[in-house]
Amino acid sequence: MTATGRNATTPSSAVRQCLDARTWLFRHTGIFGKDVLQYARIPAVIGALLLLIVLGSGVADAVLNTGSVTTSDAGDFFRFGLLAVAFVLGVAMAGEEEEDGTRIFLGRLPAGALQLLLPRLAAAALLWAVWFVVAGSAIALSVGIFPPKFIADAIAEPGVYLFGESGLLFTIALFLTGFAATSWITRNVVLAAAVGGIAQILYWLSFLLFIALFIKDEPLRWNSLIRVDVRAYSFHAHVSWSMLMAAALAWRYHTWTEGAPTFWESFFDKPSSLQGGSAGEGRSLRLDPSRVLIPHTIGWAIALAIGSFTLAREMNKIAQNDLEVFGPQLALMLTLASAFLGAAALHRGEREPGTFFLGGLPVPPRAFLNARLRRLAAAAVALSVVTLLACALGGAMSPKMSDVFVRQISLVLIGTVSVAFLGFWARYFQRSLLIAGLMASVLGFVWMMAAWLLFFSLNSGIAYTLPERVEHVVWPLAVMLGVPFALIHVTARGSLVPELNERPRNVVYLFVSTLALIWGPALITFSPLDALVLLFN
Amino acid sequence: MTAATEYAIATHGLGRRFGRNWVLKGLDLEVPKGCVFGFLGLNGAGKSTTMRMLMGLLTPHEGTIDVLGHDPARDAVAVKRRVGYVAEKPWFYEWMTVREVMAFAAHYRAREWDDAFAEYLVNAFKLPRDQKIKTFSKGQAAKVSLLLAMAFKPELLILDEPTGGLDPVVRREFVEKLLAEYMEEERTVLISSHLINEIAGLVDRVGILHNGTLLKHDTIENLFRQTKLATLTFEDDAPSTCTIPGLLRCRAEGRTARLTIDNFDPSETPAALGALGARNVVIEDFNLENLFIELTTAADGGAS
Repeated sequence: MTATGRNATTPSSAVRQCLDARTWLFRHTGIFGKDVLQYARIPAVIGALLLLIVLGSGVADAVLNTGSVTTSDAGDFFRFGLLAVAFVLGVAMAGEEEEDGTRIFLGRLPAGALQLLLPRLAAAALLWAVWFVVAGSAIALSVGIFPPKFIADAIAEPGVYLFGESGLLFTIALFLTGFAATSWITRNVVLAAAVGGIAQILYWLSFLLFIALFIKDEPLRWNSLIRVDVRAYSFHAHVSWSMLMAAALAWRYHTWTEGAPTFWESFFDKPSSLQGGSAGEGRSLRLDPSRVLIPHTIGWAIALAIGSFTLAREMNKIAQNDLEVFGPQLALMLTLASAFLGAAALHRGEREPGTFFLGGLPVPPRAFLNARLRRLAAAAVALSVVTLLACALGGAMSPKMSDVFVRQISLVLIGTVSVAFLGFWARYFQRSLLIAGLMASVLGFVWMMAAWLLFFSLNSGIAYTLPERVEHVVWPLAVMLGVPFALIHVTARGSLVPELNERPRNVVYLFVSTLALIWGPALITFSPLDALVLLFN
Repeated sequence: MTAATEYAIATHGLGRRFGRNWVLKGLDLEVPKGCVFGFLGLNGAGKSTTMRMLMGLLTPHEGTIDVLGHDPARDAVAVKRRVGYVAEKPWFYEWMTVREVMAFAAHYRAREWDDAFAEYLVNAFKLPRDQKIKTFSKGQAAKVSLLLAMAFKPELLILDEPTGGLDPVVRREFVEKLLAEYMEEERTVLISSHLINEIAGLVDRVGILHNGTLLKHDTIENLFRQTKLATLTFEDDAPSTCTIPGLLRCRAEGRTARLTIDNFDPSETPAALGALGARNVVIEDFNLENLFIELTTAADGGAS
């Protein structure tokens, strides 16, 4: 090695130019360029997920002729994506800095609060705007519509997300809520996302009350909540909320120090996690390593209970007006929740068994793993039961409410456990909790939809025999539960993946998950009986 | 303001608690400009907490701080602009390369950043510029931390266990070469380290922090002059207790007694030792590490 200390492998000129460009970006834009580069993956993953769903629906339509991808459906996906990108960006931008401790690095730089905060908001705005154009065009092209027309129609169309100028303001409010909740409440990204979700629901409720106060005419008051008229009134609510969140953020950034406890830590009178290390976690681990799941379980159960109940009530109003069916949205929400629950259950350090302290204990790794999986399954079941109860409670207001969702209890229970296992498995491959959660959500959602499709056939009026019913229920549930369980054991026990570096891990994950994405739904819907019929008919 | 001119750092009655537990109480610390100040203490003594408060990374719960004429609790940005800080545990964006993290830090130190000196340090530490930090060993990460703290040639350098992960060769080079070069320009260094003997030749003054309060605070010459080890050999078994002015510790083993004596007075203490009836009396200097161990052990009730 020369005195310059250069790495033994000299980068090629193309790589060199890329590295120089990144260096230039960091030198001249600081945290703005860093955030743009670091968080571009989030809109990319969400875009890929939605595109996959749109394309998947198109394929399903072509093959099974069971539905159709309309402009309206694609527009809904697009609008949902815009909101999801905003919220997830908010949570990630604040959460990763908090959770990884890189906020400490920022805190040591001679930069004031706004000097750090404003470029971060600008970077988020840029990423969101790019997503708006790129994902809008991709979804439009995938359903065969001229992109500018699709985007214009999607934005102009009133719907549950209240788009148009009001939609933009709502998106800003969502981003700021995600950012503020993660900065203020807790250093745990998963918990912050849940808390941010609750905050957003509270905001939505306060917004509805705001509207109700201003519309005096009784029938118009409730009907207008879902109509275009509401936009005029929503302006004040969105702006007020956004300003409140922005003020909260600025204050947090201004007063932040290394020892500053979060609300969560203050509430429970815990020493700051930055001061006391992971003392709380350490205490639980001394009792039982699998207990690290408990805080997540409690947090998610509370979040889902409140969130589902509130959402169910609101969606009930919408369902009464025949504008929206709630089932897929709640399925998506539950999939995301359980995927993150699973991903959070594996400590980042445990991805490296050679260095993490659990690996040095005189206990077989299998003992830890099975205990963790049992608790994870229990947590996922608790999550789905709470959600189902909340839906049933909300549905009591109207017989239409959540009917589809509650009918499929076995699917919800097993599906939630299955997706949680997929999240746990994905975490072996992905260092970032956020990416692991999102990637597992993609896989889990497709699996859930495949099983959903099969379950629906039971309600289509065809008289199935008992063995056929068993085949249509037991087989898909066994696959959904068995495959992730087997994947986890192969990954963990074989010690092959945990010993790989990040890049090979990503390659392995992409390969295996793509196979699972393609063959998982096929396996779920194609039972051994079908195989026998096909072979010996 | 006197403190702003004479002292790089001055604290008065400084206190900080975490929850209900006070980790620092009534700390009066003065670090003159242009000196290397060794800040010593056992684990949990409050060194890192003090350093973080000096940087404005923690807010004190009582007392005042002056760092280069600034109050870090009110104007942390001004302090960070002029002070280089190496924390016990370095944090970076691990997905960045050395070159990138330097560029990122330079963005926020545009006026002060010295590209030539930064390059010099990269070479001196033999850091691979285009390698991601997440692939680095603990020692390499420590070097990156030192690099970022020194590259803008700060007036004051606060080093919290800076050599913890470094191998002996680099550690010696850092202490004997880089820090020495840095000090040629009359800059101030506050350094804490558990490798006490390694920094002993470097420091001008020493402060020993114990249980959140300052046990000793003086020039290194005065410390060595004031605190001595007396080894007394008796004809019979050595007494387990003895009385002498300034006695911190007395350890008896067979016919030998070892006495740690503070406030050693060359005109009176030898005579007082002779009066204890020993056959032979040997008076020695401590090295800095042993001095530290004796003082902290005595403070914990090791005296008899």
